[in-house]
Amino acid sequence: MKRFEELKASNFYKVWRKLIRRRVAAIGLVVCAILVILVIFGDFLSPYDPQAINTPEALQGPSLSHPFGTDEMGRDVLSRVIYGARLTMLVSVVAVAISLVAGTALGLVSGYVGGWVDLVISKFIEALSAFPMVMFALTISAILGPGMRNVMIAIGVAYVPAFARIVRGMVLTVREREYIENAVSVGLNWFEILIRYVLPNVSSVIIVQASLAAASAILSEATMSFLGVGVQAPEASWGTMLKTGYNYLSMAPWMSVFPGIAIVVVVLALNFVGDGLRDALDVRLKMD
Amino acid sequence: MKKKLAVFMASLMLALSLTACGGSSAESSSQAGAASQASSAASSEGTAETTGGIKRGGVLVTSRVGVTPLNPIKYIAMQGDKIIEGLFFDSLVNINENMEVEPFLAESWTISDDGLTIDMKLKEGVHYFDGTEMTAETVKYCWDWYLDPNTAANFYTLISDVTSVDVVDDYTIRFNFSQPNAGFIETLSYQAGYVLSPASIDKYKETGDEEVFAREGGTGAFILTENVDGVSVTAEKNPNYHVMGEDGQPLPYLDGVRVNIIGDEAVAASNLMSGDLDMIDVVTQPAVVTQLQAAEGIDVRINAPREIFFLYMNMEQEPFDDPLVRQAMCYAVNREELNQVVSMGEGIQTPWVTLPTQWYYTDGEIIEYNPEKAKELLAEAGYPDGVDVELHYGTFGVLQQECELVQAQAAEAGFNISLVGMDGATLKSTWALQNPDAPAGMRIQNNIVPKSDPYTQMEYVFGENAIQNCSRWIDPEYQELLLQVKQTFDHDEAQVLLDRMQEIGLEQMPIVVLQAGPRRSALADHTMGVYFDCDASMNFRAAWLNK
Amino acid sequence: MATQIVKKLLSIIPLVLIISIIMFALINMLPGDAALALLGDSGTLEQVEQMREELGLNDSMPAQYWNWLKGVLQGDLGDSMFTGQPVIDRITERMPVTFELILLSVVFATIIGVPLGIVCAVKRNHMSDYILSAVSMVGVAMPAFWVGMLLIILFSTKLHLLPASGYVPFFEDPLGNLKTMVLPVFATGIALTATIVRQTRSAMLDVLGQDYMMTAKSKGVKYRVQLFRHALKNALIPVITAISMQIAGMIGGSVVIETVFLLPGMGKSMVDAIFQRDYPIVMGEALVIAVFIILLNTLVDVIYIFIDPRISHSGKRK
Repeated sequence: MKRFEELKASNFYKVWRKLIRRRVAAIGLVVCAILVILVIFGDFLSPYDPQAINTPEALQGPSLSHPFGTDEMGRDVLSRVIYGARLTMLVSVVAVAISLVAGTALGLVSGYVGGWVDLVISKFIEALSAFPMVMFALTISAILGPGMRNVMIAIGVAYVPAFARIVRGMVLTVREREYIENAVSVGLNWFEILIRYVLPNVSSVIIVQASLAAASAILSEATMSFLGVGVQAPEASWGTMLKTGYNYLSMAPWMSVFPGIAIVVVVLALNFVGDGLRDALDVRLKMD
Repeated sequence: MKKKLAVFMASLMLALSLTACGGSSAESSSQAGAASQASSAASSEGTAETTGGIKRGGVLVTSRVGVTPLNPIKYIAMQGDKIIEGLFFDSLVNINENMEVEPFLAESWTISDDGLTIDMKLKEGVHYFDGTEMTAETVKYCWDWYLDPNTAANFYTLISDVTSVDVVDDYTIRFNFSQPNAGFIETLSYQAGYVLSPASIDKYKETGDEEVFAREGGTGAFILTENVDGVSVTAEKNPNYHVMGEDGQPLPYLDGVRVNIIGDEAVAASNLMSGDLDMIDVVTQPAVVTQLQAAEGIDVRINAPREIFFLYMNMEQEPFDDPLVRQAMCYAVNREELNQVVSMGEGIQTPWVTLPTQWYYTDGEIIEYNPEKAKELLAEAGYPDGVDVELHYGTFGVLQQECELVQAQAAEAGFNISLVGMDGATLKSTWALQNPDAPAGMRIQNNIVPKSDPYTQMEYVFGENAIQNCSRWIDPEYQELLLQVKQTFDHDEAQVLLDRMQEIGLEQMPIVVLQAGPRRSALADHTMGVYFDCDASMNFRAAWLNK
Repeated sequence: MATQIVKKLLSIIPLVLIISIIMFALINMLPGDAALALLGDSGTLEQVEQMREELGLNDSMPAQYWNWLKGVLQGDLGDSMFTGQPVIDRITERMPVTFELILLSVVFATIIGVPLGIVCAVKRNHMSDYILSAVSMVGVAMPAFWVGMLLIILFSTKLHLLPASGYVPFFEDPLGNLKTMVLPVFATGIALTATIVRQTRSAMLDVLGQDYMMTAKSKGVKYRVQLFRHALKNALIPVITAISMQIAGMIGGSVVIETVFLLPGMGKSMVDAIFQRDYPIVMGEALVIAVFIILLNTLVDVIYIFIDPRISHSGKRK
């Protein structure tokens, strides 16, 4: 086991080097780092309270005191974008976490165990994925009610098939490998085999998929907010800011331009990182 | 004659204000303020006469914010649904913009002294779309169907006092009542007053075709040609309409009307500005209103009815079961700020859910914003550190903005409000009186006023069977008086009862009245002759396009 | 081969059944009461009960599902709870619109995306590659409805070139139809175009990089062209997969596009129905959409079987 971990450590280093070498991936990482800083230190960095209503100063364009302008209630857009990063990333990360855990578990079990378990789970996943993700998430949101927590669950559940499928595909390839047969003959039970041997080899696929899913989740959150089931007032994620700004598009375009740019930048960054990881880890996403 | 004088005065005022302000018509519509906007219904007819005449032809395209069932017995929104229903169906009476009842399909009526009989003389020469004539017989047939409990008409409770309808002669019918109903005539300006042909009723009973009345069974100015569910309603002119136009030919002037269902005000606005729409039925969002007011060739007008915003408080659960808490909430809102921000300063304050333009309006104290007092009351009620409550709202119109403001204002007063938004249908059924699992806390309502008569208006919010009695307030004395009002024809007597009812309401505070905001519509300058009556509906029979 | 195809087609049935059960379960978890939503503004408890009876809401869940399923097998998808319109009519009204939107978007994206992807592959690591790749990445990152609204502001409100919204059926007025579809197709197709560019690029690079291409270079222009065409054919396979995977997403995305551009399509109809708790419409349309997507996936699988018999054997255990 020790040797295996040493190997892993150096592999990590190798992958890191490969990742940074690609310029776009490096840019993506930088953006992500900035994002993390905003999320953690948002309280100090934002000039105003994002929810401070100041109606006399509503709908003002970008200026020195309000670099991104103000919205229809006089709230500072820059502060709202900074705080919005928090909510948007929270939704995205939690949703991806949910789908990652659930999807991976399903994919692992289904791919490794095979037989009728595989059949049932596969059919279930296929059924779920035969349905447009947005509508599925919308139905779940409608059931649970609007609000941030439920959007996370809705998007998380809707993305499960993506993870499950990919993990299952990888597990099918890995199953046949020598060290698995060794582990079986040594007498480890399937749970241990899955966690210790299969999972690490599948992890590269999961990581790539996770970063791409995170990007996609941000767009999904924007769509859900646009349809009215997203984060509730007066807090705002970037998606809800787009929804409100939509009404003011010709009068106060800065209300939608800046959150829109923020979304594009972060989604791009995550996509760059994901693509970079895919190249660096030399992953061919296998599907059956 | 009076009407012509009003039109002349209105166009004179409009002309004066135009010269005073100079500049484009778009500017004057926002600078001249309420005066020109309030009179622009009349002035659009006035401008017609001054610009040399009504043009026939063309199809008017309007937007409508929601879906309307085409079967009038299945209406959902009593006032709003009249916009589309009014294309195909005429009612026995109309209520004009001054809240007066006017004859329409019923030319005259007499009410017996005991109030138990109403004789109604029908207009002659009115034909249904299928060619048959409207007579006392056909109206009786229609009412027999309305009064049958198995028909399950949504307005059944409004007409359940009618025991039977008799034919007196070819064009006179008699309504027989089990008890007097003072608001009955006004009710006939709504869905219950529509007259449907016997043939269409029979067809409906057989086939269940929801569109049969709009295609074959109405008497209105337009006939349904196409209904794409949830998307658009297209109607063409009825060549045999019974009302004459100013040029001596039958109405309507238009060849047809098309209604596009557009739920989003911003989308509707961009359509109006690009010329794909000739008018928008309702605009509420300040952003959209400002945008349209600044646009060329578009007029935003304020209509007669108002949208009263108020908060329901669930009196069956904490904390609003305690009158002190309810009272505290009354002091926890800044009505002036709500008016300025959400209603753009064009709202008014009323003590109760009536408007100054209504005959039974009684003025009263408008409660000032007093967070200190609210905190004291909360402390007295046992919440010295404030109280957490939910505020539910529908995610349409300006409700979200209103709620965000209320949340901020009430925070100063010790109310820690969390907002819960949802779509209209869920909101309605969650808070319905008949739902035993309704949540605790508050719900905001935007109630369009006036409704036809005092009984209907008060029953809507406080009735013991009203779905919209979301505060769950059923006070025995109030209910008693409400029933009496229903049967009191004399306005002075009714006023006494209604005043007492308002007193009880203000004492017990089942609701917190916020502000009475404006109802606006937006029209392209070439859209003329659209008639706006006293509630939120409009009629197109005399509309025409000046292009 | 034939047996494989038949097996694939048969497997659709249990899949569709599973989907219908899942949707049914989900829909019944929706809060809010259809009966209360439909009743006017006042009603006694009896009226509410009567409405519930009529709508069949008092039957047990399995009973309700079974009733629905029975109807479906006989070709009756029920009626809208809201307007009484038969669900089948609603579907036949709305499906062509969404179908046209998706079809045109795929055509648009392919016509633009494939050539651009080839350019990127051929001019690999040059300026044009970087620019095109960057632009296509941005295309994927923008929320479609945002793009849509911006397009409306530019082309309809400011320039008055195209209608802001609305839909004219193709057979009524082909030119008008195309005019109403330009902006929505563009907004929907941008993300797909970007994906196609990237997929084509990487697939072409894969194929072009292989040894036989090097030998082709030495053998002269004509041979190169032939091999290029061969490479393209092979490269298109992953591109086709990518497109088919995206289509499900596009149907979902059509919801917002149809809202913004007022296209009377299935996406919007379904979302409205979810909000209105119009169960029969939701079930009926969900079924149709799911069947469509499953058929599409099956079609792609079948094409694979034809193109490359080797692929169909992968995934089988020794």
